[in-house]
Amino acid sequence: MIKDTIKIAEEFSRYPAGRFDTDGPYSGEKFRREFLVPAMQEKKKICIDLDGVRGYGSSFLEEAFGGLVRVGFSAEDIFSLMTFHSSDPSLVIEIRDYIEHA
Amino acid sequence: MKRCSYKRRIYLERINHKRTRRKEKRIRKGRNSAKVITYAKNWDYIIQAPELLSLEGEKNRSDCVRFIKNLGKYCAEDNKRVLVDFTRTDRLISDGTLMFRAYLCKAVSDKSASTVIKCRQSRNLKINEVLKQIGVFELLGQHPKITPHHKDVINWRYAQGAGALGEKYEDILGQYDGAITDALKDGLYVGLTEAMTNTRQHAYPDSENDEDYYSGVNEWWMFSQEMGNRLYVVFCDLGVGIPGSLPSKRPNLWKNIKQKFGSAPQDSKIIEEAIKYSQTRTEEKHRGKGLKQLTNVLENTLGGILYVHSNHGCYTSREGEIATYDYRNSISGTLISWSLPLSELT
Repeated sequence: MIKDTIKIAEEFSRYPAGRFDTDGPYSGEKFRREFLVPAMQEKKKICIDLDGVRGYGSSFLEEAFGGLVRVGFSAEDIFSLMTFHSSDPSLVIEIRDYIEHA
Repeated sequence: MKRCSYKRRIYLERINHKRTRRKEKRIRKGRNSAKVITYAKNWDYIIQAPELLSLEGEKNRSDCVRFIKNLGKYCAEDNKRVLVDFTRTDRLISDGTLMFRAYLCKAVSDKSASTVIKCRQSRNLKINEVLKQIGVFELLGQHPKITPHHKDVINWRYAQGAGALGEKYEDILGQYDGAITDALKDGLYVGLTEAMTNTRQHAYPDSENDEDYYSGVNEWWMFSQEMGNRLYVVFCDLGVGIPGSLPSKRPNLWKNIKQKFGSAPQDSKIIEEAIKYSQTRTEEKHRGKGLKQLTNVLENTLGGILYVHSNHGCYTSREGEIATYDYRNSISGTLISWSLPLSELT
C-alpha cells in the first residue's frame, strides 16, 4: 500500500546518488521506479519528504522527477498529485524545473 | 680460455662492486628524482619516489607523474620483482599522494600473479605513518609495526569504490558533522557523489562494467585530510579526463570550444568551458548542474580553494577568482581537490 508521505531518508536511502541503476545502488531511476511510478499509477496524492538525506545531486533529481515525464506522465498530473516538503526551498524549485523542462 | 687466478678474480669482483656503487650514487645524485634502477640486487626494478609528491608546480608534477607512470609500466611486466622506494621521500601532498595510491591500486590489480611489488620505507617516520594510514603497506601485503599517531597523519581518511556510493562519504567526512556547516556538508556530498557518477557515465567509455557496481574494479579514490587548520578533500579517477570525454558527450559545446580556441584547444580551456557551461537552466546560483556542482561547494566559503586537474590542464578557483594552467605532463585522469579553512567552517 502506498503511504501518504514518502520519506526518502527512511524509506529509500540516506545516500541517494547517481542517475541510472548502473550508476549506483540508490539512483534516481530506482527511486522513480519503486516509489514515484506506483504512486502516479494509482493516482494517489503523495507528499515527498526530502529532508534527512546527506544531499541530492542534480543527476538523481533530474532522473527521478524529470524522468516521470519521459516515462509518460504529464507535468500537470505530477503537480496535481505530488507535493514536496524540504527545509531547503531551492530543492523544490529545482525539482519543479526538472519536471517542467523534461 | 685462460683461467683467472684467484688474485685476479678478487680484483675484478672489487672493481665490479665499486663500479656498481658509483653508478647507483650517480643516479641518486641526478637531477631527475623519479628514476628507476634496473640492476639492483634482488630486485628487477627499483622505482624511486620523489622527495615531494605533489601535482602543484611544473617540476613537482613532472616528478610525480613520471613516478606514478613508472609504477604502471614496470609493474605490468610478467615475473618481475619491483621495489617502490620511498627512502628519500620527505613530504606527501594529498593530490600527488592520492594519484600514487590510485595508480598503485591499479598496478596491483593489473599485475600478473608472478610479479611482486613491495615498498621500501622512508627515512622520515611520518611518511611511513601516512603510507600505513592510507593502506599502502596493506595493499602490498606488508605488515610493518607502525602505528600512526601524529595528528596530521591520523586525520588522513581514505576511500575507494566504483559507481555512486553515497555512504562512502561517511568514511572520509562523517567525522566532521557538527564541525562544518550544513550547506558545506550538503555541497561536499553532492560534489563527491556527482564526481562518482561522472566516473560511471564519462570517465571510462570503454569499460564493460555496466551491471557490476559492487565488483572489485575501482573507478575512483578519495582522501580527506586535516592539516594546518585546513580541510582537504581530494577525489580522483584514472579515466579519459574531461578533455577526452567532452567531444563525444557534449558535441555542441565541443564545437563552440573549437570555434573559440582553435582545433586543438588547451586542456585547461576545455575544463574551464565545461564548468562554465554546466549551469542549471534556471540560472539559480545556489544549485548547479554537472561539473558546476563541484565548484559550487566553495563559492561562499572564505579562503576556499578548488583545483580541477584533468589530463594536462588545471582549473583553479580561489574565492571565485579563476585561473587556468597547462602542464607538460598529463595525469591521465581527473583529480578534484577542495580545500577549506576549518576556522571558517565552525
